[in-house]
Amino acid sequence: MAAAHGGDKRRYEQLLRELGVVIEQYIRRRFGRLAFIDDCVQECLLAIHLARHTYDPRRPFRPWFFTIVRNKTIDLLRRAYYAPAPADEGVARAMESDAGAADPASSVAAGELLTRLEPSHRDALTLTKIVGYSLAEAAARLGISEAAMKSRVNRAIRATALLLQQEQDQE
Amino acid sequence: MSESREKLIGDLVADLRPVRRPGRIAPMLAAWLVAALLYTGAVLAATGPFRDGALHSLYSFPGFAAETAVAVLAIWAIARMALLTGLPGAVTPFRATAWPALLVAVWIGFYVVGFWYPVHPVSELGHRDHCYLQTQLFGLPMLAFLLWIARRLAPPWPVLTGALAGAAAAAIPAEMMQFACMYEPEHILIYHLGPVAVTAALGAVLGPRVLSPRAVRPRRRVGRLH
Repeated sequence: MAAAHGGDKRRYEQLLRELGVVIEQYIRRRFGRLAFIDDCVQECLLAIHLARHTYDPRRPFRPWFFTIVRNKTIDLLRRAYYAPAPADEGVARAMESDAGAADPASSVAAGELLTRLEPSHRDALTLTKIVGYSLAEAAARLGISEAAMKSRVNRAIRATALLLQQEQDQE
Repeated sequence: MSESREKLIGDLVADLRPVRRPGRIAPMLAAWLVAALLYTGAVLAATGPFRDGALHSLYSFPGFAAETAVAVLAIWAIARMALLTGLPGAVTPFRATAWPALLVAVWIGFYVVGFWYPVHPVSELGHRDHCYLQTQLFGLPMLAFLLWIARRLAPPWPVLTGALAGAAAAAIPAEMMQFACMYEPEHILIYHLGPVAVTAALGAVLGPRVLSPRAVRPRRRVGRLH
């Protein structure tokens, strides 16, 4: 990044490529098969580009980088109420399963961070952000009102943000 | 790697420009502090006289000098943290609040202890009729200025940055009121320091609206990327 501050395009390109891989692994490990991983990676890369003037080469790179990635990820989780494309066959099967299926969320492999959430929070995030259900569909699945579902998703996102912050503080 | 990510990286690399003095907040902090002191001093002088012998009290009463020094330190710490929280990863939210909170607690402590042992003779000399309102209003332009500076950074916690900016902006007129208005601990706590909390709350409300990434428009040349 210090070289990028000087305008070295070749090294900046190499940095962005490597960071893209790191961000993808970071999100995948924590959230499993998040439907919009590539969007998230691109948003993070754009945020890093726009915030590059705030990186002080005298400070460590990791806290700067992961603070941006964590914030962008949470921001995207908040915004992602659009129906994402199914991430893989497992998700597609979960989406196609009939209403009698006990728990479509359980058929989707959860990331490490999701497993640390309370079950109700985990189900809320998995159904709306990974399986790709709308709030109404997810609420119907869990047998709660849409308003309760919305509030549960918001609480789940806050809990996720807190876990990510704690994770970073421990590093 | 997806095609769209490849294209994005290509666009970002093409947009790369050298950055001068990256991640430095000291010049911005100094500029804001100097501007805030000059502006607040000028508007206080324009709206009423300073208390007779207020500056001389700094020499006559060491406790008053110590109280002023702690207040100046607290203001510096709050403003510094407001800008430091604009640099991702530079400071944790706990650290950003802990140091300023400690200094503000000591500052407030002078007045709480002052109920029994005031560091300056208590009197109504220099009383201003609208000191509460003046403290509040005089801090607003400096809050706008500090938020404008913070917008040029990338604050990950806009609520915290906004609250700190609000507290710093109002703390300067609040401290200068000790020279421009009457010295009485209860009056100071309610009418001089009270507005600091109100402006901090205002900053917390404004923060996400003016500092969050969606509120900050990308610079023009970067706008072409979308």
